[in-house]
Amino acid sequence: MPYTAVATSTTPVLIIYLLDISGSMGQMLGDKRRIEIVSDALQEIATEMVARSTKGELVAPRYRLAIYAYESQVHDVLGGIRTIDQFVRDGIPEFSPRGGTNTAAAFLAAENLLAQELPYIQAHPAPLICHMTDGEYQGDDPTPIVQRIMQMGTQDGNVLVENIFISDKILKQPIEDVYSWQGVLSEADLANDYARTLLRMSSPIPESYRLEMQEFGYNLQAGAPMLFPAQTRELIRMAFTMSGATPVA
Amino acid sequence: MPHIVTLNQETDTPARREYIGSVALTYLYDRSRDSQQAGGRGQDFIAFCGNERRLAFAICDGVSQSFHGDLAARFLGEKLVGWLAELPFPDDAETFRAALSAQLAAWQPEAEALIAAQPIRPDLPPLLRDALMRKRENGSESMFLAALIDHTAGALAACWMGDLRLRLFDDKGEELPLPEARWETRQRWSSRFGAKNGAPQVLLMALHGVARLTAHSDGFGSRSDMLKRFTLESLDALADELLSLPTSDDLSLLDVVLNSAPEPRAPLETPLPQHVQGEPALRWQPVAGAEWYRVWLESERRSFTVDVLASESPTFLLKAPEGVYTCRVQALSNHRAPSALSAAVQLESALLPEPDIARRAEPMHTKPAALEMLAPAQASASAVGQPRAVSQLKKETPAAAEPFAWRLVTAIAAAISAGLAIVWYFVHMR
Repeated sequence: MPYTAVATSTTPVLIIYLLDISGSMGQMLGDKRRIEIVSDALQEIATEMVARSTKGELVAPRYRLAIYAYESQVHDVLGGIRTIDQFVRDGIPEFSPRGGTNTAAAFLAAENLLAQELPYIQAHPAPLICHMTDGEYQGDDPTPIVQRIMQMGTQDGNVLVENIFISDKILKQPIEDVYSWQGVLSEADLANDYARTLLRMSSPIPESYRLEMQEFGYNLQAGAPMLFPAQTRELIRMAFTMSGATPVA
Repeated sequence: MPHIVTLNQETDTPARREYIGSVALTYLYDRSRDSQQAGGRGQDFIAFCGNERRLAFAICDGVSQSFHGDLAARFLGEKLVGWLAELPFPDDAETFRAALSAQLAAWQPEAEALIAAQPIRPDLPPLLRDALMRKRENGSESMFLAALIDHTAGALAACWMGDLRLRLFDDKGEELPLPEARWETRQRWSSRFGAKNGAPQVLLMALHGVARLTAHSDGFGSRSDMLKRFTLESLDALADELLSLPTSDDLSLLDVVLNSAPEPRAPLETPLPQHVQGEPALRWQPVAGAEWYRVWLESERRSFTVDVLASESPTFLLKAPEGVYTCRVQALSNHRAPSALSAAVQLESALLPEPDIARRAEPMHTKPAALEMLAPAQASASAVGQPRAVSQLKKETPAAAEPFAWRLVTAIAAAISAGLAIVWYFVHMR
């Protein structure tokens, strides 16, 4: 069965974050800038990953992380891949919004990293790319690159791509309760074309991830796409929780 | 009832066999590869307690996603064995379930206080501290499987929450079905909530037709079929194989063969420990046939045992929080009845108390397998009436104070020497 390999210290899961830090991320969402809310969510999911990797005070390297922040250019925030125990020592990076939105360049960087890594992690859980943006891409269309990425994989399954869209214009109907929301059930739920593009760039949620999300109280429908309209802080938290939902030993 | 024996979570215990009354008890405890490599504690826990009439045991699997799952496992395991050991054999399953549920609820506040008092080191990285604080708020959790075998009633009472397994075998080695049993991973006991995700499962049955029962943690995974028949050697080989897998988890197993007996040879001879003058240590002559020795220790505050492999020097160095400890030594073998407990020898430890609650109940051992006993007032029958050889240790210089005093004297002498040298220089060289 795909997506059942568990993340262990000898078979850690690779998670690549692609974070849009374009100028618009400096806009306010509630009482905080979008970029600050993303940092908070990243802190929260990193804490959760540490909690899931910890026995006593021992942090087992069950997660390997790469963070690419992008605007017009792509920045390798961690300087390569870091295990979660290394990440613990370094702490959460800070981001400053600036520039445009070269989404294709970010996915291309992820594709290159996967091409280097995949031969060595075939027995590991399928890697996951967590892409967070607040606006439409500029420059090349990232869709062909993402489709290539979605054909890559390990024995556990193809690479998973999750998209978090920070916008209040993605859904026709706002989400009333984040815990009872079942996910984007059809294209008709979406309010604009870029949301539909992101839908095609999003993997279906594997059952093992869905069950892990249930542990956190979320009730996503089986097979719902990994597309999260992030209209509120709660929704951003939920979306980042998904990125750390690989089953662990 | 005799003392409760607990396997130490800080070390690994290879497959061993002991004889208690008419049963042969085989156990194994191996920490996961991660824990072994990092020198961490195992999250599983094994305890047992028995005599000719009854045997109570518990295997607990601490939930590593919770805060220090090893603490909940240990706390609960000791409580369950102590309770089952004294429990009048239940009349029916519902009575048993109700009594157990009441106990699980009653133990929760004590465990919650224990966990709340567990310190989180301030020098840890902030992200790790945040993660640990979050876990501590949610409490410590453990799955469990505990059982009482009553030879007089010829019956078994078992209870569990979680996916630890209990398996019964007939005298031909065929596994007996347990159609009512459900092993649910979501079920566990929590220091914060008590029983979680449902009521505990119970099983009450006659032992007629049962020759053997095995309880084991989920670490055996898909290889649990290998436990239908095993030797000590094959069990160790299986543990080694499982520890080499990426999914390596803690392994704990306790197997009971009913109506068994050791080889028809006399029990091992009783060791004769002597206090090593000037040190909180014991030394004894090797006992022929012994494969390991168990040092039973009792103080006012705590009791525990430490195992010493027979292949090592037959000595024991006490490393424990400050106090006077009454020590007895027993010789054990996988194939012969254990010796009686030796006469008591008192040792005094001058070490400072350990601040970490997690280590409160654990000795600091140097040996690979250490066991702990409870109920210090209940000395085993074989030891009762034997004269106590009380050491004169109290009259001796406390071990920990001596180095400091010596360093102080040395420093003063050095300062005086330096002063005299300076005076001599000014008087004679100018």
